[in-house]
Formats: sequence, C-alpha cells, structure tokens
Amino acid sequence: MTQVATVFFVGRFQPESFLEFIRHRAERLSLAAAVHSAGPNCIEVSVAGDEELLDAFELACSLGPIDCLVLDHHRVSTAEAPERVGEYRSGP
Amino acid sequence: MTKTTDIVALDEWYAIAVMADVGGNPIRTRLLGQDIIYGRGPNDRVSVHEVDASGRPGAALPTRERYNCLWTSLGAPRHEIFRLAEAEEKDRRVVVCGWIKMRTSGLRLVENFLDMAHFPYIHPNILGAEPHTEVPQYASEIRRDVDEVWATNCQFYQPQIVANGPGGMVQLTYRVPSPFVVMLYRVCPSSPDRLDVIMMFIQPIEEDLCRALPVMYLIDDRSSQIDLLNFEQVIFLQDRIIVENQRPLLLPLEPRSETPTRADLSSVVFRRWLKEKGLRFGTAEGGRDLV
Repeated sequence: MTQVATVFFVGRFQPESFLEFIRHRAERLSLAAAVHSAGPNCIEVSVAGDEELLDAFELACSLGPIDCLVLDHHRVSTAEAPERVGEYRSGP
Repeated sequence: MTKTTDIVALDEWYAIAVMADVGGNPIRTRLLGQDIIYGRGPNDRVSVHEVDASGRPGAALPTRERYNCLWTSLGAPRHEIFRLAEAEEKDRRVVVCGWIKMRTSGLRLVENFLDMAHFPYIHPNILGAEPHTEVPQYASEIRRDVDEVWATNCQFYQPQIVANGPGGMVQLTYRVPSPFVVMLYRVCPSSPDRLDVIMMFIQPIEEDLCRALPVMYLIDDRSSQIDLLNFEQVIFLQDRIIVENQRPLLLPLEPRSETPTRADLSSVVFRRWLKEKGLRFGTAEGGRDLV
C-alpha cells in the first residue's frame, strides 16, 4: 500500500553528495522522492511508495555516502505526495 | 601488511590470548598487522611486546587480564575494557570456547553476530527453522553516554530453547561495547529472571584476517562442557562458510551496492557508529580493494 512520508536527516552533510545518494536509492527502490531542503546540517525529503520500501530508503540513507554523517533521522507520515515542482521521480 | 596507522583501531583494547594458555614460553601472534609476543616472565608477570624489525621484543604494550583473557593495545586506550556485571556473579559458569580463525574482516564477524535473519537458513533447527523466518521489529541505537551500540526488544523463533525441548520465541539483547567485541544477552531457560551472556572477542590480525573467541557466562549446571563446546563449534563453523564468502571481504561503510531492509537495522547502526568513530581498519573505505 502506497504511503507518503517526509524524512528528516540531521548530521554533517556534503549536500550534493547526499542528494546524489538519495536519487540513487530512490531509483533503486522505485520510489518517488522530492527534496524540500538540503543544507550542511539538515536534509528534508518527501517520498512515496510501499511502507517496506520507505523503510529501506530511510535505513540506507541513515548510513548515506561516506563523506556524510547522519546523527539522527525520523520519518513523519504526510498526506501529500511529492510535488511536481522540484520532484525527482523514478521507476515505472 | 604492516602495522596499521588507523589511530582509532590502535587505541582499542583487544583480547589476544586465553589466560590459561599464557605460560613461560613466549608466543608470537599478530594484531592489526603488527607482530607481537606475549608470555609469563619472572615473578609470574605477564607481558606483551611488539616485535621489532630485527625480530626481537620491542616496545612493551599495556596489558589487562579480564574475562579469562589477556588483553592489549597497540595505542593509548582512552577508556578501560568494558564492564560486564554478570561476570561478577559467583554462580556463573564460564565457558571459553577456543579460537576460530577466519579469512574476513573482524567487522564482518560482528555484523554476522548481530544478524538474526540468517538463523533459519545457516543454523537450521538450531537457532532458527523455516517457515519462522520473519525478524520482528526491534530497536537499535548508539548510546552516546557509554559509546556503545545496543539492539533491544529482539525476538526470534528458535526450534529448541533448551536441549530436546519445544520451540518458541526467545528474547535477545545485543551489545557492541567496542568495534571488535560483540555480545548477546539471552533470557536464561532455567532461570527466566536472569540473562545468559554470550560474548565474542575478535583479534583483528590483518584487515581481512581475524580470529574470534566465544566466551559464555551462563546459568547452567546441567550441560556438559563438551556439549557446550560442540554447540559453539557447530554454530561458528556454519557461520564461517557465510562470512568468508561475503564480498567485499572488508565491511563497506557506504551501502551503495547493498539494499538494507528493516531487519538489517543493527548492521546499519553499527556501521554508522564506526563511521562516527572514524574507524577505517577492516572497512572497504580504508583498506585495499579485495573484491
């Protein structure tokens, strides 16, 4: 069953590197994902897909690329799917 | 290889011998790529030295005797060896199972120890059994006040909770007090208000070579010593087939080519902790490419 959630990552980021990792992971899991904000200490991304795949997305991103360090992360269910504007969508 | 330059690895404590095996004859072994020698000298004093380039004993290393083992460090540890409260209980039975050498990163062994999902497939009818393959949701966290990784509320179906007894869900708690030490607390079948403790001490010899020593602190006055040793030997030899065939041999800290799922939470938290600590010895990012 498709769910929509916003995932917050807090830590020390190279934003471009982390965003590339997010895109790669979303594509692998066939998730729709849209980045809402990306800074050196916080990344906020909206994702939509099956709950197990959202789990897998959050888990992989909580480790992330080698040049980024996630210190904390949490996920909040939201009503709205990733917006068209700025959206990164992959999969069928 | 030569002695690692990874300061995080150098500054940890490592079990390198069972105390009962430390005698008057010096024994040579290797830790983190560095040859070392240990033995019992005059006045029964135990010492550990690096072996220098000429093959002679060089710098003396710090030593501790803890949990039936001799521990040392190639660096300057910033903390003492972890404390295990259960080891101070007088009625515990201590079972030292013997070293098992494996061609893999010691960190891969820790990760395998933390993994419940492989029980029904790798240890069928011992630690798990099909069709009971689901790993119920559990919690895993870095406890920053003690700088350890813990996994709590872990449950898994085991076909024999006690020898020749019925199967059922067992309650497990995992603890990683240092990068090369991992342990499991399990509700004691014969005394449900207490916990058996199964530890694994790893001596990282080289980036991709290690040996592991299971040590158990049990509430068990029924099982024979040989049965307990046989049990651990079977488990570890089953695991050996798996961990020696994982690729890369070194532990990746970036999950680029893997797809972890919820059941892998402990593994991800463990790797995140290693990243935070800056440990590179035995990781794919810090070692040579062995793929």
